[in-house]
Amino acid sequence: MKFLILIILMTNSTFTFANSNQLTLEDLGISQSDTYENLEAQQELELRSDYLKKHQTWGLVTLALMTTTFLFGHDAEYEKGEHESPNEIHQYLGIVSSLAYWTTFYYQYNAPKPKDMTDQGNNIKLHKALAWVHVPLMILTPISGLLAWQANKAGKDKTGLAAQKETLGGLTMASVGLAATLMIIEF
Amino acid sequence: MKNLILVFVSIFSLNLLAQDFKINQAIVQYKVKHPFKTIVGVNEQIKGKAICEKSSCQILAALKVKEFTSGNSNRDVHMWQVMKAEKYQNIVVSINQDIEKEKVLINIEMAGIKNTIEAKKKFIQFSKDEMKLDLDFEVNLNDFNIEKPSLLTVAISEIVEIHVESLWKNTNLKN
Repeated sequence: MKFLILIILMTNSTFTFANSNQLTLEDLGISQSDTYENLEAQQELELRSDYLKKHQTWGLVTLALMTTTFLFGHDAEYEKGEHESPNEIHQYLGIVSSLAYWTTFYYQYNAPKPKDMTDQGNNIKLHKALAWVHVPLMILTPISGLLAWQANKAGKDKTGLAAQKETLGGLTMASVGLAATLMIIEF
Repeated sequence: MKNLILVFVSIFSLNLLAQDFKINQAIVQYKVKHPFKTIVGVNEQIKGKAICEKSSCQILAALKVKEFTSGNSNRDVHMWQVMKAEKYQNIVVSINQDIEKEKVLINIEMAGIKNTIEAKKKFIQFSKDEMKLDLDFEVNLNDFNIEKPSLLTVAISEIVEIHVESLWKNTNLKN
């Protein structure tokens, strides 16, 4: 009799009444500390997301403005004997494009990056690398525009950087356009 | 004396019927559709335990939101934001039923909201020492109050396809 009771006790310690217990996260080895709420980090994610959404919207606005500026480029030249002054729309569009571009840049540059984020994805890497192309171009293009405008106004031929205005403007627009297009291509 | 033997046999047989399983290998895949492209994200770090009596199972599995990867870190981090990953770190899935039944109901808790979803497709296979369980179901982001991410101002579809493949090892059996 005593032997039988001993066997029952041993059996109970070996086999558990599994179904009588509800499984919990602790059963999976997930402790309370693994599920803590990090509200500060969540707020940082919200801010990052907000900034990158604005970066995206301003990027599209910049691209549209750059394209329009480019299309009005022809009208900005003095046509000797025809006009007293050139069409100034190109100039104003250029200034607005530049402001839009630097606003886009501001939102990307200031978007907080989570500590545990590792860079992954060729399209995003190339999108970021293209900044090394269009940021210098976006500095040079307005300078060349200003120089071209001064040469044009003085009735002089465009030389140096001023003579490269169309090329620089075209390259800026193309690199910004490529950066935007890369966001929809996966490779 | 006879009664005692009967109790012992009942306890012993009840325990033999209950089989404990643990996830050995699993993959959870989500598919998000956008007019410009389809994104697939994967998580292979799933923890799970199941207690089954024949095909009647109590299953619990959990996976971290931040362990999903879609091949683009910017997109993944945006996913952490919409899924409130720093607030609700885990997605918890449970099933409490006969999994061989035609209708399998999956309880999901994510982004702080609990919902029950019916599996669209399932594959279940039991053997002596393991269980294979594959499931396909759809999650509606609106049901979990999850903001739809957008690309170039166009939002993704609110329906996200989920595909699960899991291999469970019987932990009652000793090697």
